[in-house]
Amino acid sequence: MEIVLEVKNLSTSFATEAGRVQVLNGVNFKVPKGKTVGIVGESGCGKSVTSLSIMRLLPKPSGQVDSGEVIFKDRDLLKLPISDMYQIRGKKVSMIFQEPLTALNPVHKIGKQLGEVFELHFPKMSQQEVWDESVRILKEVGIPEAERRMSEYPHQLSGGMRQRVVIAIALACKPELLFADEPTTALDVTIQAQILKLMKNLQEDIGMSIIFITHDLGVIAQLCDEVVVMYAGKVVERGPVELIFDSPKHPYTKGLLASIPRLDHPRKQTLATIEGMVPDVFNFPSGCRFHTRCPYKIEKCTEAVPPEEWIDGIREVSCIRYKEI
Amino acid sequence: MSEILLKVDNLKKHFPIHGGFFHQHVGNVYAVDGINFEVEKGETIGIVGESGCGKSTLGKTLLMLHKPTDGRVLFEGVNLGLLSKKELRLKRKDIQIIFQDPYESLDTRMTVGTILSEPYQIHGIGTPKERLKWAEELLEKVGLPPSSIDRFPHEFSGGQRQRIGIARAIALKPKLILCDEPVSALDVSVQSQILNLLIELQKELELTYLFIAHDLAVVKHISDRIAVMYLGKIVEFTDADTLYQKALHPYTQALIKSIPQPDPKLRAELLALEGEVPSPIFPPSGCHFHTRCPYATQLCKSKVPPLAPAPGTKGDKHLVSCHYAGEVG
Repeated sequence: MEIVLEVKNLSTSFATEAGRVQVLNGVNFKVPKGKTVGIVGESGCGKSVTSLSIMRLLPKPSGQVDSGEVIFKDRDLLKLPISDMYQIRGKKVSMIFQEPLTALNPVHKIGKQLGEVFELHFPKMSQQEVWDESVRILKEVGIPEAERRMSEYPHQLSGGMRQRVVIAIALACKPELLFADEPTTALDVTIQAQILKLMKNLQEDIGMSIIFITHDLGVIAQLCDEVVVMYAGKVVERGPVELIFDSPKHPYTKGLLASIPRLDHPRKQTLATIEGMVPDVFNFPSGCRFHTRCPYKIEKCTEAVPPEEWIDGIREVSCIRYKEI
Repeated sequence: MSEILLKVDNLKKHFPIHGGFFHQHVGNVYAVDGINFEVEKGETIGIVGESGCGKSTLGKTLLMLHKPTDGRVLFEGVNLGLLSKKELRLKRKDIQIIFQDPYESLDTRMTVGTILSEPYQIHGIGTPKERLKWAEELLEKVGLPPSSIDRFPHEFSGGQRQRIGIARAIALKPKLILCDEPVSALDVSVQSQILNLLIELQKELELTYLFIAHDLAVVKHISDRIAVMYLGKIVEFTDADTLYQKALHPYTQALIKSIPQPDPKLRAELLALEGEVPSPIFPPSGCHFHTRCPYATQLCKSKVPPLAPAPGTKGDKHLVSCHYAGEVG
């Protein structure tokens, strides 16, 4: 299978008043062409920092990629001159964010913000062409009365409509890879369903790959082909979504899946829990970072970082006791 | 028939909108628009709906944190709307609330001990020493070390703060607790801890819950009966299992089908309901849902469907407000 993006051993740290903190610690994963890869984890696990590191959008000067490679079409994005990066961002690789109101500029009309993408990446297009193309793409993402919306400001649109505009901007140049960072978290569930359906349809049209960052295991199960589970700045498990959901091999994945209340389960049953809480980034535990909460912990877990082991050549897990789980 | 703890009778809360010349009254936000239901002692009623459906306003109006525009709230037969401020404060001993955001609902400058002693202090119960002892007991009950009384809220994580919020709510041994989105700000692994705690405490202290949330899976997990709200009105009200298995209102059906199930084997086309929730300032005529309903007819546009027993049911076992209940979906 053709691989669009390969992330190798990515490590990122931030400078804080209390010294440097290592937020990502050797993240590895691949994104196949035309597929959707979900990155799932709880707050503070580093899923958003992963996408910002890849796009080279870390807050400067505090954030810094310490090591690793990000191979996008045979080129290492981390080593490209920044001018080449401008050409790639928005054209070949795009992003959509969680909060559509902050992603849009409140003082510019929708038409201007959308047209900017074409002006930047296709400077030869005439004003009329930019306008026509903008209207066309607004229609494509399902915005009614697209011509009128072009001259409106973001605050005049509802949350769902704003997210559609953000998607329109991200997909204007038909990118090969799209980062979607919690794109539906701020939306109601019926609107979420609309947006997910739209993303799926557009993916089929354009043939792009999607990296879908979310904490919602339901969205992962419904939308993704592969899943990357992150905990405390590391990938603990990754592989095809059916396999991971059906037989999780890492105790964290297993705990996470068991702790969600499900519509089709009996009510008021005691839910499985993961004891304790996510460790503090300043104070990550030694050895396996999950050992402080893990029911399968043995002495060895506290001593050495578990290696990433391949199972059947299609999935990977970082747990020394995965065979017993 | 078990005991009725709370009875809500045609409750309305309309917020006036002022604008234009001389700040005139130009319209109303019909946030809560004629709600009726009864809560039995010891049960959990879930209230579910999307943003802007009025579920939080309903909660606040029930507790008289908003003055109702119309209608009555009877708690153990007493009309809360007719009580004086002082009487209402006494009543609040029995009715407590747990908020969504554990970061904003705790005073950052108070120690946990002070936060948990405050309810006793306000109601003049016990000596300062006794109050601190009770605070320690409360902490133990919600799964935190009693030594936490000397610490400040910022030293705790979101889940632990929510435990402190719960400890404060149960301090005065209330009869009814309103839980307003108590787990929606929490991570899934912590969310399940808090849901388990709420269910345990309910059994132990014989609590009655009103559980407001937008996540139907969470609401279904904890509730005995569920009210589905849309634009200020209840559109369907029945026990949790029936609601999931045999929802009759097209909105409830759509709500269930639009939830992404956390199981790749149950992959289904998510049902995407067209359009968006209309403004509660200008709710649509007739059935409020008709603008998004795939089954809407002329009748739906002109006539408001009453919340009535579903075909083949009696009393309040399964209430639904749809002209075509049982025929659609």
